[in-house]
Amino acid sequence: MGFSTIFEAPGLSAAARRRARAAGPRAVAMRSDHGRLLRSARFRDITELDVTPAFRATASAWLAESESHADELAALQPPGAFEQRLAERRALLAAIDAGLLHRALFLVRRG
Amino acid sequence: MSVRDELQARARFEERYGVAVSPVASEVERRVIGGDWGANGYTTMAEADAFARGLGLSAADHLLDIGSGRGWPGLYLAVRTGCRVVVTDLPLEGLRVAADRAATEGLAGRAGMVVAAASGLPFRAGSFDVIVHTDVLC
Repeated sequence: MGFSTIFEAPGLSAAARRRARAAGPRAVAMRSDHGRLLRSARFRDITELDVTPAFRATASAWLAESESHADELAALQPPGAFEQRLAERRALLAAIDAGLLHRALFLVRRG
Repeated sequence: MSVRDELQARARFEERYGVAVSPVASEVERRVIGGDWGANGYTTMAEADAFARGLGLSAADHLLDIGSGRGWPGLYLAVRTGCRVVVTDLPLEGLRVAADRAATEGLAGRAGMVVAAASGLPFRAGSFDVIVHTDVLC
């Protein structure tokens, strides 16, 4: 199995965790580390790759390209949807830059 | 995530995937992730290639892509490696786009689309050799 996941940085204060959850994707609220979760599900041979820098670059690129094509993209969507999405992208990027959100790729095999 | 949150998320994705893919959106995607596969998240073409290599995907494999949206990256992995693929998600509109793309890519007979939640997949154990999901279990 291969998967990517976005999660709260470890060791955040309660306030920082709330900010991470507000800025991240809907379900970002991992309470246990992924390795422990995977091992409990009998996955072995776990490879974890931190891709937070690439995550930051991609998030930044989505924001920049969306802003540069704002009029065209907004016209394709329901009223207000594009502006809301842009605000979400800005909040996500700020959270990444604040060290609140990480992203990793996992390659795992069933034991 | 509460049931209400999940329903809201599903509604938002239905709305998002219901917007027709336009040339400008495709160009934006190409500039951001390096390809044009209907992606709207953070998995780049390079990462998809890393999955293909790291998982040793080949034409002998049957791949399941959970939370695939418009078929990314499952359909791309099927084109790249020759594997068979089933892409799943809840928004039907996204899977309709995936079906069109599969036909365009000549994946007839090798690609299937199934409306399903990750928490209740309708497949027998052992149906697939490899599973991928990108930014689903956040």
